[in-house]
Amino acid sequence: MRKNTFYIISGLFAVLLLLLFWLSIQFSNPVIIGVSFVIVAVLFFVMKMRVTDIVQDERSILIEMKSASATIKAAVVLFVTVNLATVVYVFSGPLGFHKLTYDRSVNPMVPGGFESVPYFPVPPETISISELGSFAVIQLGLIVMILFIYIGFRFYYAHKFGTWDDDEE
Amino acid sequence: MTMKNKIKVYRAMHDLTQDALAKELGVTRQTILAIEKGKYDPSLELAFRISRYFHTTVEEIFSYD
Repeated sequence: MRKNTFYIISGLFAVLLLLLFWLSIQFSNPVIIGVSFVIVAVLFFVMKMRVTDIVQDERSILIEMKSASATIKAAVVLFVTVNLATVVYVFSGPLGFHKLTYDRSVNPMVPGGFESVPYFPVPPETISISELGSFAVIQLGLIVMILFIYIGFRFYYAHKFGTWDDDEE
Repeated sequence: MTMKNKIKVYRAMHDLTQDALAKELGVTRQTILAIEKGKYDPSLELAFRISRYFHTTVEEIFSYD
């Protein structure tokens, strides 16, 4: 497969994924985007292996490795930060544990008559369901941020290892 | 401490362009350019391939100051 064909098909895959993402939201079905993303990712890597006219040498592999490594480090910090903040936010409301109940007799002196008592106390304040949308926005923000971080590191290492240097010949 | 090399000198001696040398060694022209400018230190394997291509030793082409 030629390099340009690979780029065109990759672009079409990106558009297709956007469409499937939209469909997934419309049908409120996360399986659509979940499964299709995995399939597209596998197809992308299989196609990349079949490209014949991309010259990859040790310097370009080093740039890719360094960019990926730096992005993973940044992603871990970013994701752990957001995860911890999210956990604290969710802990500020009920965790659903109050649904775990046991039966207790209403009056020990009177046989029969049981009431359902939660093991955990019900917190007075609850997180509004409308606020859950902010989690989706945060997730989207993280994806975009990771993409920008990768591109930034890619440019940095490409510049560091002389990709755009002038030819003196 | 930096790595220095005489690839440019040897290229001139053999009347080779960066592109031609890159094709002979199976790397990109940017890699040869980056090595010449000291922006990229080649692997031991590539250093040996370069020196063998010019029929000389690694120490003759590469030095570590």
